[in-house]
Amino acid sequence: MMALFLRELKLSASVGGGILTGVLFFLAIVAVMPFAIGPDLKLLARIGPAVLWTGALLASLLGLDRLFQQEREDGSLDILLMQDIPPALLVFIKALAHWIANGLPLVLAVPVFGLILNMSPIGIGASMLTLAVGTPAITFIGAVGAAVTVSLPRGGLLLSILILPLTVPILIFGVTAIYGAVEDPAPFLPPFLILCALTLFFSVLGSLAAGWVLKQSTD
Amino acid sequence: MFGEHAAFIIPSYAVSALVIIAMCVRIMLQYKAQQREIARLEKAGIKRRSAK
Amino acid sequence: MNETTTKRKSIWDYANPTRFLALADRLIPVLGILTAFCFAYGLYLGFTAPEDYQQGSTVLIMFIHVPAAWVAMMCYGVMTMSAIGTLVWRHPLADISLRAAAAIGASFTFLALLTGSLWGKPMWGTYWVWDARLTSFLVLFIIYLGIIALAKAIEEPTMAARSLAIVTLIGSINIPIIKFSVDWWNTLHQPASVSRFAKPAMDVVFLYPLLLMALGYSLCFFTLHLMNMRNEILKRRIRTMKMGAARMAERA
Repeated sequence: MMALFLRELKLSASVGGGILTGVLFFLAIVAVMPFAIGPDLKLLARIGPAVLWTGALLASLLGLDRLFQQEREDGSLDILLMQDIPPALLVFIKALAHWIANGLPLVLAVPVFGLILNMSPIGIGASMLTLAVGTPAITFIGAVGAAVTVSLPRGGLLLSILILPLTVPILIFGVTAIYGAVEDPAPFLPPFLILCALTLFFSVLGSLAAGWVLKQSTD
Repeated sequence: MFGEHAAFIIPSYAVSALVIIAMCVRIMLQYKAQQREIARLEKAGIKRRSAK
Repeated sequence: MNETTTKRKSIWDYANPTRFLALADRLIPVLGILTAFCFAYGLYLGFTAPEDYQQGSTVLIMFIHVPAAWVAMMCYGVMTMSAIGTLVWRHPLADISLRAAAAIGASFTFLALLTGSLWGKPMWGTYWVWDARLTSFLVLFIIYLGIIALAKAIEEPTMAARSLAIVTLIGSINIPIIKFSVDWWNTLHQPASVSRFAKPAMDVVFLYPLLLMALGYSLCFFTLHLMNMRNEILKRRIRTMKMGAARMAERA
């Protein structure tokens, strides 16, 4: 199990330019925003959490189509599915490794991006925390999309269309929790706990559904 | 005849009618086309493998 | 398969595509006439109803907006049941029903959004508010479009059926969560104008035409759905016939 996890980790870190691509894409989104909105630091600080979450959401969608595609093409996915590991567990491990290689770097890059958006230290801390808790949910729900579109030539685009509406709750509670931490009257804990619940829920639902689809596609 | 809001009522009815009728027509045309296609194939001597 | 279904007289009899076609051929005209009747009578009652003291003549838009929204949701319900049918019984008709419903559902969702925004302009002073209900419907519309795009993208039929079913099911599990989160989000950013839309008890002169129109819209949906399912069955027949012809040509 651990060996599989490490193997997946190495694989997803090496694919497509590795960890850097996602972070660079994230940087590009965050850097483009002020040009569209204007350099008003107060406004940027206010919408900072929203920009960070939108950027992270798009950046985590970016690499999702590669979750199963390469292994599907070289046939190793079929071999993995033929072993005794339940397919849902396999998907869970793959998604987790994918998140550590692609999602975690986004979270670690947040302090830098928070500074250029003029966010307060508390805001940056809250952003990191909510992103760390929330982005795995995007990966897990995205695993279903990746499994469904695995055999399609331009699957990445379709995957984004399928997954984006489903990530609306994650986005809402992630951003709300940050505002809860920064602005006084709004509470932090309730949206944050709901975000945790969403991640746990999707980690089960996404793994089961994606595992089922992958199993079907090999039959 | 609908008072000051005619500009909103008429378009909403018009578009609703248009969309529903367009759906009907499209589905019916498709049906006719497919029946023709099946007749053509059957005439060419192609049979369905089994009564599915 | 054929023999077992003919012995048992049950709803599963109609799960055989040929029998289903025969049933659909009989049902469609009846449903169509009922739909036309409901629409005619509902519209007559609606247009002869007095003006609402609060909404004025815009209450007329309600008669086509609310039913469209109901049908849009009901259609997703039908698709969810079809998805379960595909996943549990792997029945081809369930997949046909899902595919046939998607485009119709998207159309009704579009109508609900459009008439809603045309209703919103005189009522709220703007075509669009980010109100919980409108926003959820926008998300529902995108989900419909995603399902249609997926249905068109996957070529291989059995895989397409299973993928569509699982995506539809995940969507239906998500819709309550989306609704809940959008409600939450909306209470934080409550725009003042929406409170004007507080529901008053509905008068009978509006309720009857509304219910008739709702019935008409539902019947219209079922008619279109049956017609579209019939098309989908024929499309598959043509496909098998062509494949059979190609195989024969190869052998010859």
